[in-house]
Amino acid sequence: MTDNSVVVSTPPHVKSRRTTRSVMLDVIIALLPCAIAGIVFFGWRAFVIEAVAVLACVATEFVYFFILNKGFAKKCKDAGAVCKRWLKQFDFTSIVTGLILALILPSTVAWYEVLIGSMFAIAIVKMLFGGTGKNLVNPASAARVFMAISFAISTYVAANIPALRFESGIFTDATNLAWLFPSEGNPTTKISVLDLFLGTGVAGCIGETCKVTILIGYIYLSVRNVIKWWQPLMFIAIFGFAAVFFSGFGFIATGGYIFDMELFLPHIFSGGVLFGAVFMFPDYVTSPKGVYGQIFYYAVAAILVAALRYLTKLEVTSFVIILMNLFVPLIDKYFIRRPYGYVKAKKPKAEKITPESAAENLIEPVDANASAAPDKEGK
Amino acid sequence: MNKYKKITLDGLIYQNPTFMLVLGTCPTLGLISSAFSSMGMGLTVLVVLTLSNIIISALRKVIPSAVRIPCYIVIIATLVTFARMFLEKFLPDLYDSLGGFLALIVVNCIILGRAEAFANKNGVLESAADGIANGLGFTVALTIMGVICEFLGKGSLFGAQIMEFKIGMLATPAGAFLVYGLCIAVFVYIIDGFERWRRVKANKLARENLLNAKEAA
Amino acid sequence: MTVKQFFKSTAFKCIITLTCVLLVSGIFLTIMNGLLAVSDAERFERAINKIYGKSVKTETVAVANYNDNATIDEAYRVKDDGNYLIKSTGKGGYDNGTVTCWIVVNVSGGAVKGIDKVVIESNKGQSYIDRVSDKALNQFTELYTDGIIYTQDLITNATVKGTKTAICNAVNGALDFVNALLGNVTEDIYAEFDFVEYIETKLTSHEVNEDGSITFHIVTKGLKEPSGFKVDITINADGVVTDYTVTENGSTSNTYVGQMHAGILDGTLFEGKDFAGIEAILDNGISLPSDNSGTEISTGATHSNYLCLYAAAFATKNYDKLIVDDGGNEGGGETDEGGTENE
Repeated sequence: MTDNSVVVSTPPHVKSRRTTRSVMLDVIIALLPCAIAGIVFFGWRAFVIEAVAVLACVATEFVYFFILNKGFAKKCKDAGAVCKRWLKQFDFTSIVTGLILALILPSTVAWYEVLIGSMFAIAIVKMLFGGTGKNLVNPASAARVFMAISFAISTYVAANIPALRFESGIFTDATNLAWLFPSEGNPTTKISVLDLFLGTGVAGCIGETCKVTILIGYIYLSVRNVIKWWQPLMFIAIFGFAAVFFSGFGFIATGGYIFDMELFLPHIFSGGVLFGAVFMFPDYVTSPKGVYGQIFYYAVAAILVAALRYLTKLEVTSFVIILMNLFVPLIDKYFIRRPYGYVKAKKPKAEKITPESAAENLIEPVDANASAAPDKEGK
Repeated sequence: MNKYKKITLDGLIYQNPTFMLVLGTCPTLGLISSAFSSMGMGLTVLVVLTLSNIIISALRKVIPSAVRIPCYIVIIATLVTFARMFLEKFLPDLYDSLGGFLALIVVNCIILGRAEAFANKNGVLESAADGIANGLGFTVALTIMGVICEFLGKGSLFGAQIMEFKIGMLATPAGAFLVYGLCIAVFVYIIDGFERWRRVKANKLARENLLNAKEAA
Repeated sequence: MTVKQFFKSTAFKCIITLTCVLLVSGIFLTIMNGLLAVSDAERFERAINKIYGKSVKTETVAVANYNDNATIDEAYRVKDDGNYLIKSTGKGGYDNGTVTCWIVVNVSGGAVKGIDKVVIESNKGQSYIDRVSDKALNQFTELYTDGIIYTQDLITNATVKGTKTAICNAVNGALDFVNALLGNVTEDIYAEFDFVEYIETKLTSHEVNEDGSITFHIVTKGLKEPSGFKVDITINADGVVTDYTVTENGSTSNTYVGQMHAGILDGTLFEGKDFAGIEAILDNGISLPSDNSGTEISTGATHSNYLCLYAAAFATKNYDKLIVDDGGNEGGGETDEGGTENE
């Protein structure tokens, strides 16, 4: 008989009521406003995409689990038990992945493309690497990148930031966001910031169009302490400044560099930056653990998004998410976290060599001055 | 005869250069987006590998071991250059589709690996058999993956368009990497299953033999 | 080490072996090179063969340029059937890039009969060139009718508009070149006119009505985002616009159409104005009288607006030239003919 009163587990030995399931439930609740706004803006198509993505993700996870746990062995004798075990361990992560994936897709995407993308996200990006908590990159953004590369480009590039560049005709249903990157030939009409904020009259991805709902999700997640409130804010602020900085180069052709702060809000309200900052970047599994590491992670990601957007004129948020996710192990390695309860040993102050101390040490004052001089220069 | 059977099985399956030893990944990832070019690559390697194995094994007593690697490289480079000339003259389509990967056969680790691991220790006939087996293993592996990648990534088979639907990423080297990994997984799974089945069967046989022996005693 | 020792040492053996291997390899390769070398002529023939589908004899034709949107790089006349094989580089692609195509122009009886094949040779900066399917390229052959000028609207299925434009330009350039070679240049009656910067002069036509007014069927060029507009403008004898209809709107989407000047769309801005009136609008350029819809002309639909504006300017400025012509040449028979021919 084993003694059941002793639980053996690996550290940290923290007990709390918070489980993966409750956290994921919070995320789902935070995503609901976006999902509903998507259905309001894009109609039944958006609903079909959301439903297909979520169902496909859950089904893929189930099938993978079923096969891995030998549900088919012995002529499906254990099928019932395997199903029960799956229900017990099911933690809503695949629902979140499916929902996020649906929300970062344009409404024009075909349902079978969503199906393939969802299967890719769960089977290849998540389960092959070991399931929940072990994936290297964010499954939803990886699936979006996979779909953008695989299927007709026009439906993908377009919707996130339509017509970032006026000249290229590859965008369908274009709106005039090209003025974010002023250059010759780009239109100068401005979309009002309010329109961008509410998502009225702007084409975009299902969940990224209406920024109000994203903000609601952000506030909910922050209040429930699921994400740290400063992380998305920092990311967006740095991104905004960097984007304004880069788009300033576009003015050079028409006379001089301008740091136009008027572009700040439109930049952060266009495309998937806001959505990514709230729902995808702070993903526990794929972001660094320590605070300094996180600051570094968000700063580099923000600058990368701004720079790549300026250079490629495409929506790059999901690409950058994958890219930065891959750097997380490296960041965790070099930004060493303070172990719990560890007090930083104070560095002994470097002894200043003053004439007095020098005198005490019976060293000639001339030498002391000579050695103190470079010290001052160093400061 | 058993020796040749072992060489063949090793080259084709148990030490398949692509799936088991993961050698020659550069041309694999670069070329399996098209079934035609991957098969052409495989066959070219087959020819070069067989010839180099034969030559090296024939010269194995002559070449001092201190300079064997430079000698091998010179021989392989000569054969590859010859293969390039031959392809450019007689099969220009294949030559175009292989592009830079053709010259890279020189540093393909399969060929140097077989020279170092097999040809300089064995006779000419065995080496030739080994070259053919390994080359065939490489060709078959590349062709299988080429078919998968081309069918899913371009919707065509050996250049003939079959369906409109395609997953474009599988026609890129990144997608090829995914397919490669999955193919290795499936291959190893099948081989493992086969081995297990064989072991169970052998154990059963041994037990029966033991029992029979006991009864006889 | 004595000389004798050296000759027996491993070092000497190594040197000898390496030298022998190198020598044998070198000799073998030299012989093979002599046997298998592919001459430049053969390589060229092979390239031609690949495009043409069968081996043919060709002769080089001197290159000249007849179209601003394309550069003719190489041109060959196929001796067997008289067709022309043109390597043409089309401008105006995505991100100001170019696309170079091989084009087989079918010629028989001294006239262009069609396009047999378009093969993309290379491109500059067209990242999505892979999306141009063979099906899209085949449309050049299918859609050929005499005197056609390919525009990107004709060619469907190639997703990237800029790339499509460049390919169309290359094909048009090749057609122009062959036509010029054969001496079949259709005279461009509008070439000398004013305000033709944005007018597709070869597609535009006009007719003289009984009351002395002239109706232009103007086709404008595409300008970056909007593709060409088709506008019918009637000018009466006094040079005043009496009727203005946009028969085909080249604007890419409803979003842009909505942002165009309403007076330009329905013609109220132009009707009743002569050239001076329209010139005034043009001179003001950016700031139109905003009495009509409150939209200024400097919107995202600027290009569309400008195209229509230029069409109007073209019609009002040039109508008198046609009238003079008609007077001299028996009542416009010739221009009518020219018009239909160009259509």
